[in-house]
Amino acid sequence: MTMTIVRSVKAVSPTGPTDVSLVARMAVGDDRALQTIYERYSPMVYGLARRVTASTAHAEEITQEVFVYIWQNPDRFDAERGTLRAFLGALTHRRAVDEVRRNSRRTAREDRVGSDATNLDLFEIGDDFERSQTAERVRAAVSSLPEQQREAVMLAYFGGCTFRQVAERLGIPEGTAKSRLRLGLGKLAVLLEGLT
Amino acid sequence: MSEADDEVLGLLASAVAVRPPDSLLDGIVDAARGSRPSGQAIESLGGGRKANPAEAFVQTVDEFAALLTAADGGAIVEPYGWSVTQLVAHLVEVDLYLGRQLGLWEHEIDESLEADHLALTEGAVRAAVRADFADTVARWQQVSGDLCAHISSLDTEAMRRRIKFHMLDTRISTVLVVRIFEVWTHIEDLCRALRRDAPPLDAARLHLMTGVAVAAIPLGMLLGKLDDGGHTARIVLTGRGGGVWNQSLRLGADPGEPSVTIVADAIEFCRLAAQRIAPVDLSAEVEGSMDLALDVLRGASVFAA
Repeated sequence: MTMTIVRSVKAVSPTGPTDVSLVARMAVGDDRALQTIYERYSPMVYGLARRVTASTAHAEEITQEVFVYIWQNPDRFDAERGTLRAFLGALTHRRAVDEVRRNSRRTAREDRVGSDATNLDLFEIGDDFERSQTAERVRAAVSSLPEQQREAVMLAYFGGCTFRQVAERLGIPEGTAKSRLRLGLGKLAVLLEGLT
Repeated sequence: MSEADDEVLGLLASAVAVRPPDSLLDGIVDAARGSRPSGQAIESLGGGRKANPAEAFVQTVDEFAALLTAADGGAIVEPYGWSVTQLVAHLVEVDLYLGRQLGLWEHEIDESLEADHLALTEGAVRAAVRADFADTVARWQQVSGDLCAHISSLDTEAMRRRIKFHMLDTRISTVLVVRIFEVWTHIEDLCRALRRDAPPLDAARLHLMTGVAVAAIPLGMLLGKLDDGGHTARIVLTGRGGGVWNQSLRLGADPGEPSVTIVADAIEFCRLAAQRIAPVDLSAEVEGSMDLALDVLRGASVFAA
């Protein structure tokens, strides 16, 4: 689909309308914009939800909730404060962690998460070329983190663990868990500069 | 987590991206439409609220009147190069013409000029070159006050009545929206001349205007001798007063599958329709034929002529 700015009569990005434009379109009721946003971000939302909850059924449910939420509340997204990817990622993560904490089988699951959460190969990555490149760069960045920081980031994010749970699992004080997470995220921000 | 952390974590999430089952999208679109119908804006942008054309017209006239209290009658207002006094004289003439068409009073016009909004008032505008500003404003307040009082008394049935306005057979409610359009445009012109910000137009009133501006495109294309090709355009107007329309480009035809999608800001689109922005200067995103899109935008801007 070719996008053109009439004012300058030239092609914009061949990747299509910007996220900001799509959200503005959704706000006035353009459901085609919702579908484009879904095509763009559903692998991330679904993949993250599946990773955190370790359940395809919960991942589907969360994916639906996230995209219906952005349709109902497009004005909650503020492009000045961050990207749509970060917004949807945070929304998905929060919802997935809530689901994990509500889950009555949590104890059994935690054992599995404890052993798997730090493994980035647990699920396959998307087959889209650009997303694969992004994913590869992210995986390389995570792999390059010192082991202790990597564990803290992976447990807190993909494991859905609180600081206290991260500390317990790694046998370290809670403050140390927090600082490892902070250091790990700080390093990732530097390593991933240009992608954000 | 900070916003910067969210950016990093969003990237982390993309490392575990997995395409969801194909069946998921349909359910999501159905659930989304169930919570807010396709084509309806969110509430803060005016979705679901409908302005009453009579009240909206009176409100817009009041806003123009309020601006006149701070105006210098000799200040020049673009794009026509009129003084503020001449602009008010133009409005007196338009109000007299509308009152005539509504059957409120007798008012002599040159019927050969009736189709041309500007030409119809040209004599009055020229005569106002030496007119006293205060007298002209007083005259407008009297005529406009009588007109607004009558309009405010119309019930829903009366608003559906059709009258001839600039040779077009149109409902009174539509004529009022056209007049809101005109007065709002003059408010913006006047505010530019006075170097002040125009009062913001509420979403519901703006939505009346965008609806009429989009619906007028087929007529604009016909009058502008632009080839509609039997196409349908999907018009997506963003921001306050916005919405989504599948608009047939052929007068009277039902809309089909859109051949082109045009996305623009709702207020900017109104400025295009009011001929305050040229079609090539409108910031718009186009999906589909650029030539057809430009013709649609040209058709939209014929509305004010």
